[in-house]
Amino acid sequence: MASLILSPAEQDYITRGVEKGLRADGRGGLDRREVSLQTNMISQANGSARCRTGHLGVGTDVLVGVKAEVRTWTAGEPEDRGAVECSVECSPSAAQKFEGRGADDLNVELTQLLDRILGGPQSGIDLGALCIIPRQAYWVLHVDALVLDVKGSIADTLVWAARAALLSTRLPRVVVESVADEDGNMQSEFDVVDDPEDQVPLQGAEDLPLAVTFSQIGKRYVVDASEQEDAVTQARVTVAVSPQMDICAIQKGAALRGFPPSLLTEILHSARTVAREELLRFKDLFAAASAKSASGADEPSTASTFIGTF
Amino acid sequence: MATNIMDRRRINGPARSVEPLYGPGAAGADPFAGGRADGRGLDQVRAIYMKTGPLSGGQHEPSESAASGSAYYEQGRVRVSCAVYGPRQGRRSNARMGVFDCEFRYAPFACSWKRRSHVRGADEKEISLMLEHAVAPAIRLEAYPKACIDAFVTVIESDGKAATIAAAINCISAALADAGIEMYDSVAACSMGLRGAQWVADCCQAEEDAAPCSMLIAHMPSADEVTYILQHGKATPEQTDQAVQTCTNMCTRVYAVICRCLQASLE
Amino acid sequence: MAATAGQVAFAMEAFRRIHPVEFQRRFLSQETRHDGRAFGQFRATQVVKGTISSAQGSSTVRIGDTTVVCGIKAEVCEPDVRRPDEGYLVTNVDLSPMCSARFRAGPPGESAQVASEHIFRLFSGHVVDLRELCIESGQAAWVLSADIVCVRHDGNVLDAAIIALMAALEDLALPRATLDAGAVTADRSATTRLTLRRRLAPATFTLVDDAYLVADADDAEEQLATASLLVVLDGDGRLANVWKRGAGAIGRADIARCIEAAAARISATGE
Repeated sequence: MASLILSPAEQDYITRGVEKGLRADGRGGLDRREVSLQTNMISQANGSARCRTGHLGVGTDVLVGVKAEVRTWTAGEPEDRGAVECSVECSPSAAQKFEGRGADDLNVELTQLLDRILGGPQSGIDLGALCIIPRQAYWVLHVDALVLDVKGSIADTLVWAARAALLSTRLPRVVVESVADEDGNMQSEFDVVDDPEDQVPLQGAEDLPLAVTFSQIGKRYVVDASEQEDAVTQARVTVAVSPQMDICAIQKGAALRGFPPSLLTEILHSARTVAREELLRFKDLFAAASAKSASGADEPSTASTFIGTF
Repeated sequence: MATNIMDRRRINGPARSVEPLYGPGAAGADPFAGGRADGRGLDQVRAIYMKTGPLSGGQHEPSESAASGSAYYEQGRVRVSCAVYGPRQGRRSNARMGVFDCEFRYAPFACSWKRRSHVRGADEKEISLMLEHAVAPAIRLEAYPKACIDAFVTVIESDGKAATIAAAINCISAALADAGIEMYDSVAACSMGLRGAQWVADCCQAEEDAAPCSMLIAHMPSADEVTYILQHGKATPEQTDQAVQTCTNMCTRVYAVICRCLQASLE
Repeated sequence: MAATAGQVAFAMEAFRRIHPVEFQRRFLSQETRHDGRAFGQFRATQVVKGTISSAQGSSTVRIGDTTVVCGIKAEVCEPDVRRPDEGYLVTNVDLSPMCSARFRAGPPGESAQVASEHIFRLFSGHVVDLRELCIESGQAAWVLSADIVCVRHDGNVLDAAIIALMAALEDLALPRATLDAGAVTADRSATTRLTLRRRLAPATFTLVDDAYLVADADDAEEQLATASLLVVLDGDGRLANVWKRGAGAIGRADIARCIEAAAARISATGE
């Protein structure tokens, strides 16, 4: 992912700094940059969030929308479960290298990472609750992410945004009733209640994990690598940790080298420490963001607000 | 119930076809009931057979279009074949380092469930990337500026996804050695599945389907570096720690087998 | 100073690489071939059936270094409305960059398309009785997807593909299927074999450098080919198909000799 070209002197400066526990922006090895979170700004989606990592408006920026859809069950699919499907796209405006097909590999890697974290029972979401009628219909949650800006540490920001979007997701209520058909057999039918006030949150969304990406630089490692640090990273691994401190997924990213096993074990331990702090921070930020979006105080002066005032 | 995409360059069947419903068979049964189906121990990897050069060398001198290096790898019912081309001219002529590219494919009949479409699936693209990430750290790419090394992997038969990826990594690593590409070390990979609180080595498909979590590790024993790690599913931190350790040790055992095969191919 | 054996081998290798055409010609003009075979000699052929357990029928065939794997997957479909009593046999040949540097990744190239099409015409209906694939008239039928993957390409892939498909069809164990309540249920424990209408045996002859007609050409010889003749005989030695490709001219007498050679080969391999 090294798009930034650094001189050998700069590379050496960053590497040795990290080995001594110093980083160019004054952070400690396991400190993350500022995070800002905004929720529910896409009115057409069932849930949405935007997460930005970085200082002073410069940073990685990811927008996630969750759209729920009722799908008819077909043979071969699990009978009594819903599904979560993820897709990540890096906007060509985020970096020059993303132009044309330049982002293809990264899109595949991030989509699979998100899928690995959210796409199964390991996500904590109660997939059974997403089933409407077994062997007939179920909910599919489309988690679509758009990476708007890249300044290091995409995976962590992506999972933050996805977690916030899923936590803010509200599904329409579904009424299931049994009806007798012509032959007198009982058939289940369902109705989606079309009332924006009558919606339910996702079950188990509080158990969603957060991801922490570790970048090995020199003989040590850091979390939330900046763009410069990304350019000298030798190996990168993303660890997803649930609020119960279980490890939900581990995936190594593109890199030139591998980890010594001892360092890997150390990283897995640090992952829990970092995730514990991150989850607390997430809770505060998410509460603040939801309060803001509920009161509408954060509404920017967009065209729609102008139309509203006229 | 996927719809086959009509392609004039292929012989097309009906627009839609499905697998028949197979009557009550082994499906649903616990694959671990009464030990493992094939009688292996919990930490036992399926028998490995490997041969280098089946695609490049042969009964007589190789032709111009033959691969620079190749390998065939078998682990139980997992069968993988790989051909390596290169170092050959790269697409970027000013690159300081060589580029390692990998293309992973399943043969249409490789999986025990539905026939795979000829169109390259998202999972094949993902696995291609994973293989690149797992094997590239072993190659001295700085020794091949402006060049590219391509690996083409075809799965002839698959039995357990994680095990198939591990087999592909081992196969590529051997094919690279056969092609005479400069490497720090051979990469050996191994997979495990979680069964209750216990890790079970090298799961076959039925075992993998029943396991809530799988772990895949690629390791270079001499350099002592983990070049790839993938955990799919949930496990407690203690289980993960244990898996990293056990899996790394198993990789070392697989590595010994690979090295023996490579030595045998030189004699 | 006498050259050592190593030096000779090296000089020969260099000659082969730099002047591949001249290299082959030197052999051919001496009535021999670069791998030591006589013009009419075929390479050893190995057929192993049932090599892949994820397919209902499979085989692996080696002709010299050329290796192909054929797997047949049986699935259920709705039959064509015009032919309600027939199933499908779909044959595709896959020539990927894994088997030879000449092929590109992605959709099948010309040679793969031509091979797929020819094999399809040879087999569909003529070898497999498509009515045997019917499960319930107008409602359900088997579709046999036969994929022939070339693992190593060293010439004469078409022969290998035909032999592999024939062997895979013989190996095919079709589960007994019944249609009830709109779904097809199959029983793995009760399988039937297809009755094949005839047993095809192919032999390819190649006109190398527009002058030498050789049997079972390898990759290096195919590079110099101007024409090739595929002779397919059935089990009784009758001619099932003759296919002459390329612009080079093959004499009428030579064609007759090729057919004789093909018949001799089949009786020699005991088929």
